[in-house]
Amino acid sequence: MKLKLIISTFILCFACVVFANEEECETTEDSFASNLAKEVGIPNCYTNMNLMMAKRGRTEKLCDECRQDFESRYPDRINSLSKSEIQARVFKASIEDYKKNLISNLVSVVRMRGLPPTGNNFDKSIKACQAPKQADLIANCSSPAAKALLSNTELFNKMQEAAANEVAKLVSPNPDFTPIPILLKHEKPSCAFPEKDVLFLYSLATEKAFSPTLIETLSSLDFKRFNSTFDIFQQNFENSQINLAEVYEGMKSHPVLSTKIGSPQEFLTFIKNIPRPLNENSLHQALYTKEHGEKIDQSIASNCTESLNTFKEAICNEQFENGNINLESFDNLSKISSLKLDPSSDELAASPDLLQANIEILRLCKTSFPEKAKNISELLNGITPGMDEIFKSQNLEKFSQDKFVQDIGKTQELVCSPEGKKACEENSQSFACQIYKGYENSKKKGTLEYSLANSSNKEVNTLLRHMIGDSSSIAPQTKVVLVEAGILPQSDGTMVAQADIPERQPGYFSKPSTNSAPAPVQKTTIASQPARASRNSQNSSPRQELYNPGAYYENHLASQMPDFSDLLDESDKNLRNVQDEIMRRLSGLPNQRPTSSAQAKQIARDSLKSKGISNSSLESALASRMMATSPSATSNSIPTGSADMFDGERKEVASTSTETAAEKYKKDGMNRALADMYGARQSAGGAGASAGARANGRSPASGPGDAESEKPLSTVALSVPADPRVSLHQVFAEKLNKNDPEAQMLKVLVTSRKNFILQIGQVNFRVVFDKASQMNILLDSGDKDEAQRIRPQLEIFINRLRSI
Amino acid sequence: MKQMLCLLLLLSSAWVFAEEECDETPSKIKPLLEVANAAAKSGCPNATGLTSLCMAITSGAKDSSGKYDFAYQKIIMEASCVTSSDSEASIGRKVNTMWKTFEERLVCETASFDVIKGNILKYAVSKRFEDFLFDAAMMWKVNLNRIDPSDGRTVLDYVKKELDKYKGTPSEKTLKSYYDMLKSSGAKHKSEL
Repeated sequence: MKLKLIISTFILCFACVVFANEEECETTEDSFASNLAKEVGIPNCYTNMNLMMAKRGRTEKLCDECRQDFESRYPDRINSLSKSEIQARVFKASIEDYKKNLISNLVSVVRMRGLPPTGNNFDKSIKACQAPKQADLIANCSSPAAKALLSNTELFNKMQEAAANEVAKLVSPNPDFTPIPILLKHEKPSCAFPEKDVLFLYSLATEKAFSPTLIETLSSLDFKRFNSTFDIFQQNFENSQINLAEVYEGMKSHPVLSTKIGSPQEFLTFIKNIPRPLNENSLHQALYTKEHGEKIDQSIASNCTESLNTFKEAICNEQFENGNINLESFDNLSKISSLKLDPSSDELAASPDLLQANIEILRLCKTSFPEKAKNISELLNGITPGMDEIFKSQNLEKFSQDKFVQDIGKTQELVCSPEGKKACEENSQSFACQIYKGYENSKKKGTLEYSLANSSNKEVNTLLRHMIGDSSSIAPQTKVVLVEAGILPQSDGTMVAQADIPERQPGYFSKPSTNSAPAPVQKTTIASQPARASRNSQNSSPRQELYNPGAYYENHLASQMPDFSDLLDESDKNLRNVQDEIMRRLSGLPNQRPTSSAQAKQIARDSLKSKGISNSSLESALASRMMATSPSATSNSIPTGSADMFDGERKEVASTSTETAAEKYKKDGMNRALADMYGARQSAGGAGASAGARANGRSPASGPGDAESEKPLSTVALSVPADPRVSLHQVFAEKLNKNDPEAQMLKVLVTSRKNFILQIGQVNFRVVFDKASQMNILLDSGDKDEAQRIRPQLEIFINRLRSI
Repeated sequence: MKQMLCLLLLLSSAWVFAEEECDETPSKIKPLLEVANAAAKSGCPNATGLTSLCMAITSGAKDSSGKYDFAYQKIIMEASCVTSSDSEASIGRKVNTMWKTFEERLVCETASFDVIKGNILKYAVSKRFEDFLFDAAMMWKVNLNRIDPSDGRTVLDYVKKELDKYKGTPSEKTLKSYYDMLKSSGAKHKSEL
């Protein structure tokens, strides 16, 4: 009896143990569903996990449990969206995708702003990435429903506003600046580490990671062995000391390297072509070349074209017009739904919007979903080509913030944190440590980082300006940042000069060539200046120039600047600041010299004005000094308007092995000016109109076969007050608002797409149209600086005229 | 009566014992670790490919062999010696064994990750790479409660910290969904351990 009792007790206990065990563990197995049911009561099928499960073909929870429960609670709420609702949602989803691509492109471009130039003018990107014009989009769209949706002007203003906000957020020297409070930049201003510095310091750290050893190892690999760049690193550096994730992250975000990791062949060929012997300069030489500049240009242009075409193709077609959009497709549904709501479990079916989102998601269950599941990833890939996997399914706001966090925010926090500084002591080669050191250097005059942090890239700024488009609807605080950064023009149409430094000159990182031809253009007289003469030695090593460029800038360029101290009252702080202001403005000019006395006067006037001083005699004295100490202002300035500039191929001022860095810089300055002209010529060449300026200041010769080129162009004059203090923006706005006859005439010409000469004061612009009806405004004759002042506002004005 | 009392006593001790099992006390981990150690000696699981796991998360790279969706899945499966004949439960067990064996190595350190040598789950949160999180927490059910020495936090603490930081911003909802998913998969705050 006792034995029986013991056995039965044991059996019972065993059963209890098993039962208890199973039950407990089952709760864990499906604890999400249980918790959901317990905590919320009303099921929300629109959660990340359900979506993720569904994406992998596991729809049981979504389609069975959720749907059953859902339908039992809301049987009468399941209905269909109307045609117009569908159209509106698809339209919005397409706009969001377009903006995401725009932001990605903007960040890529801003990254280049703090780096040495690649010698490219980004002419392709400027054309392809120019903010789309509402009128053009409407005109080229076949769907009346889409046209009606596109007529919303606010939509376009918001797009430009979003672009401007994004750029301002990144380029502001103030780390606390944020144009939209909701897009919190970081937790607290834990350290003054501007975003723009994070971007370029990160790129410099990436370059440093490519040690000669790493380059040599990569060079020995055969690309045929690999399917992707990821495979190259995975298979060859598993046991190395290299932090693979760090190097890979760095390459992905580096403006040039990122264009080289598309395929193993491309990447390894690039690595093999890095000039030998390998040293700290080798990678720079390979990276910052015109060839790569063109590649970046092409890549940005393709991205812009692709995203605009994707947008247009999504809405300007028959299917959209008929409302015949495949809503069974998972990606469309989730994209449309996510416009209103994010998948989350904390808003469980608590609002009508969430109910609707659930209804839409549950519609998926009506189809044989698992079969379709396989295609979902492919579909998602197709919608936002080239975009990071992680960002693809996000809505615009979340994308914008997450992108910022990934690109900058986390790095900023790490570098600013005590842990980051401590880790730097342990591993000085880590990127965080390199960035931290770079940041410390950026505060010290005489370092590469200081020079890069305190200057910017003119070509990149121009591209950003075009990408932002019309700046009239941009918030004032955002505009101030962009104006100060030299991206948008000031109210008088002039640009705030950005420091121009040797590192930004094309070819700065190139090897001095011993076989260079003699300079084809006039030599500068700068070489004769005593300050540089002392350094005019063959022993001046490129390395020394590279790693001490700030000192070079301080010692040499500053010494080329005129001295005004005797004209200014040293006791007056404001007057002392005038000298700095003049220097700043001069540093942005080719050769750091005014090309005419009018320009010198203007610089003097503006510099005084910026310090709240109005003194015409002092203005004249400062201008005279600028001209007196400017031997290059007459005989040695870049000869703008010279026929040589535009005829034939671009001629570069060659560098020689014996020249000093200052001479090289000077020549590079010329090359840069030539490149500008060449860019203009190329641009006009596309229009079939040669940009060759004629001595008579009239119409240029056009491209071959262009009948119009043979006859002189008609000239239209636009009256604008000569006083540079008058805001061009206001003048043009008045012409638009008051239906000015000149504006009317101009409108006729631009809408008929006829090439013509536009005369404004002493400056003649040539307005030409290419085969794609793209308008180009080129300097025909007159003062180049005055033209630069007028041109941005003029472009806006004419574009507005075209769109009215 | 005595018999009844005896039965109750046994039942309650069985219940206590069962709870311990599901709470993953050392008594449960011990045999697993033994298995893991034995397996490690036989070359399985192996850590060879794990060095590139962080890179796979950073890049979101697809599996170039086409066998899996993502490169990280291939790395984890190979390190865990998963074969095509393994059932879902068996995959989970093998991945768990691998995870426990090499947990110290499953850390990432990059300039865009704000934890020094932080565990890979935090890295995935930081990168907002929910596919990896989903697999780790829901499919493989790996240990979610490692505390990193550098920040003294579990992954749930880290998500909470991120949530506090991004409160009121578009990232809040994403982070909240991570929080819910991790919590429902057994993740705990340091204070709860």
